[in-house]
Amino acid sequence: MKLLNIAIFSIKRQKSRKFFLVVALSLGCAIVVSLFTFIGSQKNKIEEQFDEYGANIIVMPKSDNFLLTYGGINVSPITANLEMMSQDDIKKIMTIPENNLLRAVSPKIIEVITINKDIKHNVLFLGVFFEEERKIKSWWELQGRYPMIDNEVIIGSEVASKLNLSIGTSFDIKGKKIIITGILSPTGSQDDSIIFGDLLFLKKNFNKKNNISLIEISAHCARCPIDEIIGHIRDALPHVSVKGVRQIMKQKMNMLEQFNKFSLTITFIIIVIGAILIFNSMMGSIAERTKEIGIFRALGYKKKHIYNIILSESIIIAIFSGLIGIIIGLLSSYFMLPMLADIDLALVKSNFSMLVITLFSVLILSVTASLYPAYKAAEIDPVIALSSI
Amino acid sequence: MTTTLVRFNKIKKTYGKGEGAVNALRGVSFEINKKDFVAICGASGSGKSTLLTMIAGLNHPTVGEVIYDELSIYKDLNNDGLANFRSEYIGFIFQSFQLIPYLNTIENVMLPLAHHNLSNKQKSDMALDALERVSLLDKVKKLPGELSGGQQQRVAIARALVNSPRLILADEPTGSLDSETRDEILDLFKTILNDNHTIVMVTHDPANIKHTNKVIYLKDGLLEKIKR
Repeated sequence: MKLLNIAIFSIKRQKSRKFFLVVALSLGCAIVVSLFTFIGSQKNKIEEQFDEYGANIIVMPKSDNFLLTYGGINVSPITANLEMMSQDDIKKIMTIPENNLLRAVSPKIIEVITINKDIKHNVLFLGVFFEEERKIKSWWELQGRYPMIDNEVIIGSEVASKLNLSIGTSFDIKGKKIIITGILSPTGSQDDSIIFGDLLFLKKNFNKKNNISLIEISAHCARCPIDEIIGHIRDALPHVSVKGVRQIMKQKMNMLEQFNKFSLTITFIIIVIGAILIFNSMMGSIAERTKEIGIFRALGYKKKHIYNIILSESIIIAIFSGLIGIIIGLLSSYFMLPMLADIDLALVKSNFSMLVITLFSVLILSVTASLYPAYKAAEIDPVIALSSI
Repeated sequence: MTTTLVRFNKIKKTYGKGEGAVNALRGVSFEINKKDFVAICGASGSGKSTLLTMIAGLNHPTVGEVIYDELSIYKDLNNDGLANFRSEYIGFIFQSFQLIPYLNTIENVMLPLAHHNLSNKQKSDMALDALERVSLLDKVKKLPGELSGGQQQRVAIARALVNSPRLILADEPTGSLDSETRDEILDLFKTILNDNHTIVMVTHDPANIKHTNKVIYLKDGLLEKIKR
């Protein structure tokens, strides 16, 4: 028999008192685990959903000239005869180590065209590869169909309404007849006021040769190192400007950050309540065991042995509660989050280090809250304790 | 070679301060020899328990010194030293047995050894040896609540004997027992004496006194008389 055995026997003796303490600590622990698992899962969800937000990397020519904007992103003066990019640059992009994470690489040639419809209208004409563009613009809804031959285009909803264009109608560009095969449903973005046509058609007819105005890239970002991808593209294409698009992600992440702070507040409250419960339970336990501690001292136990017994009890309770709480927290996360928070089960992932930190936190909390009760126990005067016998 | 095991040298003990101060012992001197069976008698409040806890190294005297085998325990030892002293040299038997209710017989007997750096096997062997001396080998797994009063007190005696102390202190060891069981326990004490132990027993029961070879009478914190 060792001092640890005495601590275990003592816990067993005070089953009901310790049971409620373990239940309370376990629940607190479970809440903390659930909260942080929820936050982690939300982050996973946001990263998974990132694809739906379109391109997250923009590659464009370097320029210190005036700027135009596209999609809320500053781009270089695309109509100016600056050094643009070539299709070789796309090949270079595909050589980066993370090329398997590049879901779509969509080059664009941007041109301003004039459509003569009652009055002259200047409209942006984007030459794209529709297959790649559709991977990036997964939210596009199209009335009609996508172009199948090089003189077919689709137009944004605003272009259609302002120029009174409909599916099947046509207009001329540089003497070429352009047929509209589809109209995009309103997107709320600049796409509404753009004409999308075939990139090769634009190159051929606007004498763009091998020049690309802009490359939009969508990288899978569930776990991808976006900064590293950007860095490697910059290495591969030192003559261009590469920018990451993070606004939407940041907004969502900011919301999560707020929730994170809220969770930390809840955790702090749980810690305070937990500490009070442990303190109260241990003080009550020691008050009941004054005589017993007096006997231990009379039998030759030192103060440090009494500390040892009391703190061993609190450590056992903490480990037990922590493990139960973690299991409950994980189970509730895996079963409840998909139902309550509409998170796919595959995205509910617990962070091992978070679980270890939780367990250690409960341990430290329990030991800290038991220090004073242990001190009081060790300071019990055996003469007074034995006088009550 | 000296035969004195414990010497009380002009011991005074005052509890509290000022007007509320209580003089539990007011200058007591006596000696206990090795292999003595000593009874300490006196009315309630005479200072018996104070004297016993003082021999045990639990209660510092206000004045004077307690000398155990030439060691002035309160002057020469700090708190940890006194705990070691109790652990090594003292066996304590309390009134009403004071077994730990959630430990079984052998665990209660092993209690003084729990903090010792011994293997479980060694501790268990020592406990079984002590239980054999009190004829309780058949009750090793019983909880205190499952034992009679006499059996519980024998467990308490085994607990006091387990670390082979030279001095056994007993506080009213038969106070909770009927006369037949009391005699059994006192016979057991006599057997223990033969094993080179010294016993100091606080008692107010005259029936117990006849088994002892020295009686120290206390009255109002003073040594009234010593009867051999």
